[in-house]
Amino acid sequence: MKQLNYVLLALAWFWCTTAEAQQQERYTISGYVEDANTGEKLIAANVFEPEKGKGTTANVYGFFSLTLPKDSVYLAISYVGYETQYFRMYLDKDVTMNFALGVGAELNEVVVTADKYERVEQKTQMSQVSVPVTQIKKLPALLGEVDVLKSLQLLPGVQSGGEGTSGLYVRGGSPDQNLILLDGVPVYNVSHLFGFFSVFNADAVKNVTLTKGGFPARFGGRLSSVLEINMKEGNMKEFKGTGSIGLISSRLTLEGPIWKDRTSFIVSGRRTYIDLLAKPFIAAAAATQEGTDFTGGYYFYDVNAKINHKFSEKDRLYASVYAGDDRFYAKVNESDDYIGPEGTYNYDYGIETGLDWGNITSALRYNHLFSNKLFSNITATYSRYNLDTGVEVSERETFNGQNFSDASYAAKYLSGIEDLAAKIDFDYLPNPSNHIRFGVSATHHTFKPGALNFKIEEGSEFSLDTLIGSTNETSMDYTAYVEDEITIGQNFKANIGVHGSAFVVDGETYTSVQPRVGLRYLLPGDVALKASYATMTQYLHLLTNEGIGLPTDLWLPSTARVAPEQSWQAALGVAKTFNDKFEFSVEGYYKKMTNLISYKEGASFIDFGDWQDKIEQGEGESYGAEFFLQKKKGKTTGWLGYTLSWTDRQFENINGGRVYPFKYDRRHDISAVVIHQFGERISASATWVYGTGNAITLPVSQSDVYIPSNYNSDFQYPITVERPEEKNAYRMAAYHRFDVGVDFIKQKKRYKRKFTIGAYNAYNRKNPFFIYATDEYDFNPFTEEFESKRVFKQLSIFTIIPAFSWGFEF
Amino acid sequence: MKYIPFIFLIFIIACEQVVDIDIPEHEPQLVLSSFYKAGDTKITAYLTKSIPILSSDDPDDIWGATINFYENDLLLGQFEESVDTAFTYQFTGEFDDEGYPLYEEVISNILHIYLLELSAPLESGKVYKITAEAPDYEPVSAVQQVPILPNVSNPEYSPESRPNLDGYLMDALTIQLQDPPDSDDYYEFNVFLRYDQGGGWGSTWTESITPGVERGGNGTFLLNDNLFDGGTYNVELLVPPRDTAEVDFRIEINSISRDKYLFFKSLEAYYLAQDNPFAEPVIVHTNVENGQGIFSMENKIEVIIE
Repeated sequence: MKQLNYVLLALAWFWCTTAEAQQQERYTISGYVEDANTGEKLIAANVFEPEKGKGTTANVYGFFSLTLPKDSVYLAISYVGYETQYFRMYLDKDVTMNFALGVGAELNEVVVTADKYERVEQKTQMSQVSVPVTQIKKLPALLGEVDVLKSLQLLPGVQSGGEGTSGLYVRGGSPDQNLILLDGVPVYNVSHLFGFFSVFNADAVKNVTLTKGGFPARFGGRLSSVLEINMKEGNMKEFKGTGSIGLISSRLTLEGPIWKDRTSFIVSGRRTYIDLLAKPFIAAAAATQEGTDFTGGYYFYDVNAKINHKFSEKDRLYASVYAGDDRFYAKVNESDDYIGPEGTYNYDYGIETGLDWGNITSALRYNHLFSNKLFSNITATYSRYNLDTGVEVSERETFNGQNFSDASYAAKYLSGIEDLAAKIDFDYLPNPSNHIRFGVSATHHTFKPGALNFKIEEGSEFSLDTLIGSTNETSMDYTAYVEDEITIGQNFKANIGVHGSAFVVDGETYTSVQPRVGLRYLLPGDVALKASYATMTQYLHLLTNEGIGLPTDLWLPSTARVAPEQSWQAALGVAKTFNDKFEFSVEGYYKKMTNLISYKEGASFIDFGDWQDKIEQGEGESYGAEFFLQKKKGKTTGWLGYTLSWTDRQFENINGGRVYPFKYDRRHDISAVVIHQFGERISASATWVYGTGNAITLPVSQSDVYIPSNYNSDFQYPITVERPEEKNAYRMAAYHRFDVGVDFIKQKKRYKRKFTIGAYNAYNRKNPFFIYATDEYDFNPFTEEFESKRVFKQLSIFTIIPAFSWGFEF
Repeated sequence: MKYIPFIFLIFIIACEQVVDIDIPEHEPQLVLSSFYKAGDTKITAYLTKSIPILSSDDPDDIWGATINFYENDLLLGQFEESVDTAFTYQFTGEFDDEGYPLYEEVISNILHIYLLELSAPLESGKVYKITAEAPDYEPVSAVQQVPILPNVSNPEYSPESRPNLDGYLMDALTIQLQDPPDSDDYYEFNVFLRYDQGGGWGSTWTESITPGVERGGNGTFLLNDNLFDGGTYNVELLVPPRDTAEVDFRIEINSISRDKYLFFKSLEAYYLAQDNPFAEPVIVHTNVENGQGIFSMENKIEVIIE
């Protein structure tokens, strides 16, 4: 509570210091900033009065409000990639104005004074990166599948897990410590195809923003990052479509007005077709086995849909839904006939196995403008993640057509999480010096921590249907926050807030007050000095193995035995824009995490009994420095990032209680991204990444230990045990990779077509995926015996992989 | 089932290569194996050495070592060197009249072991220490306390009463443990059966779904008292259905030292990790200072259900 008092006092003080600005006669300009061609709202567009040095930023719904003294005002409205629009008026009353910006000519470098407001040194927020979706779609991609999350892995402070996977490890945190919001709704499993692709279809995405530290008070619930992904709203002006056909999937997006300038929709879907392509080959292979019928395959699909309706300038409704599923399946049927002197014996056997997992998220949001200074949004959301894996076996025996044995056995493993939530958020902009956000939310979680369902039918003699394993658990999660973006003079800005939360589970109530502070001071030479401090509490835990985003990972609540995870993070940095083209920032950070969870050694998801018995709680820390140089404008864009970091973990019963490096402790991490536009028809992109090898545990010695037999304890026999000395004491070889891609674009009569070719891992680097010790046998011609030799073997996946896709847009 | 599709995918697109890993040189250590129980008067110790992981040598027995046994730092005796012979069956190259291959027993290995005959049996609650020294190796030592005898009651047998994890109905053997308060206690269970009164006891497949009961690395079941410290706890062991008129069961219930519990628990995890290419290697527990291996104590009772 002491921390809360300090924050409230600070807010009051800042409010008083800025209140004098309200003494003059002032009026407010408010409205929305949108794309002139599509009507899409432009998130974080800048509305700036350069002569008075005042400005504001549009919120996530494109709404802005700027209060200025009664006078002639000159407004510049800008957004990266769009032509800046200027507007002069005499402000003597409150006015509502909407601005529609046209897409800028990307080949021309436009430098305008208003753009100063969107420079990195102007923002209080640090440790935050927005990557334009247009840029993401130009980056080379594994198998041509544009992936939002993988593009974020190219940013400093963000690391990938295993080769080709889409997990995000932000500043030493694990993937479950990322709050991933799709239109404000948490997405629990972001992986398709065991982590190799993320669930976000770039064609349906409007905006991607990653916050790694200095978290504003409106966010909470995770320790390491907030990833906001906003879906497009749909074109309000005309019907449009985009699509592509790639190596493993095809996609189609349709959008348009239902009622021009009032109601729009967007529907986007994609599906892989490895299973369809493989079907004839599987059938051909099965045909060679008489009496055997085999089908099997794997696919994923996802669908995004959104509809929004503008009731009036003050009221707007959005409904959005995401649904995606992965399915692996295999089915074998065998039939054998034996014809004997007394008749025909027939035996039918079938086995069917499957692994299905998928998310549904949906949100209903209602914007209401109470006044030109007070914006509100009410949201109701539903999301669920389910895993269902199982096997079914059936057997039937007949003799001369008469059943004499008929049995079926089925086992299913089920797990998941389901959320129902409601929240209300407000943006209050009383004057140019304060942007206050506040809100409350309540979420009902239902956890399904894994259960096994057995079904046995043995004719009419025996029947069993039983459920073994953990029962569902429910909890309530309440949050409230207030934050103020404060401007004092030309040089000082602050974002001060507090996030409070309460988590009620099984009679236990956890509460947390989390102060958040972000400061910016503009030094001479337009160099911004920034600092931030944030504490975070995470009530949900992901029980997972390190590395692979398996769908069997379990989301679980804090309980009386398992305390919430907590962290605090402090960061200090400088930022500056050079020549209006290059943004440069350097940040140092320190993050301390407590109550982290991990599987006990040897435990796994399929163990039965209480999941709380399978885990350890411990702590971790991460610190380092990040360098980021980005060019957002011109024919050539891209960035260069470098991270120097240390991350470790400590659990009482792992590694003998000693501190050990986190698997993804990566001392050096470099990423270089270049996108170049050659005229209007060709653009090329290239990325190069380098990272210190992952930490691994390798055995260094082997020995024979004699243990008593469980049949006869007087008899002892030797077992060979390989021993590592320390956990994660060794490093895999460094990871590096070069990807390249070229887009060929041509405007046809009715549509624009895009042909993309590229290569992942273009110089065919054999990066280590994992390493294991094994025996190799060589034949010795002199002794005529096989001699064994102990070796380490490295498995590499994704050596050079070409990609191409054909796309269209109308 | 968990990894099948993933492994399938990886092996379609993966390639493997032998790599050189810069592993620091391992200085061989003494490896001591010594499992004793309350009441023992003749005890055996095995002493081997550890070798570097990439070595093709055998981790030979250590001969000529000095191994001492103490009770509360009071020397009880020095182990004497001895040999133990291990046998194996080898195909003779001939077949019997029915065409089955004929085997003969041959010596597979001669083990160097260390024996000590104590003047008094090992006693519950007492603390014992073992030390070993051998030329060219750092001396090793380990300390153990003999646990108190487990308190077990209400043994029961319920035929076909519980489905196992595969859904098959199993016979259940139930015992009730009375755990001592204010101490960390560890248990081990093992089930045997015999078909006729007076016949020999044999092993039987055993499972358990009792919370906290887990399989140990030598096929027995382990349990700690975290869930029921100082209270009573029903342990259910599942065996395949039998004709109860013909079968007797014997349940061994051991109070084991924490080190034995951790050793066999980690050994089981070690075996599981060996089958799982994605699992982190497990460090098998040792309580041998400056060396490897295990020195453990236990106190056993048996329950016979006829």
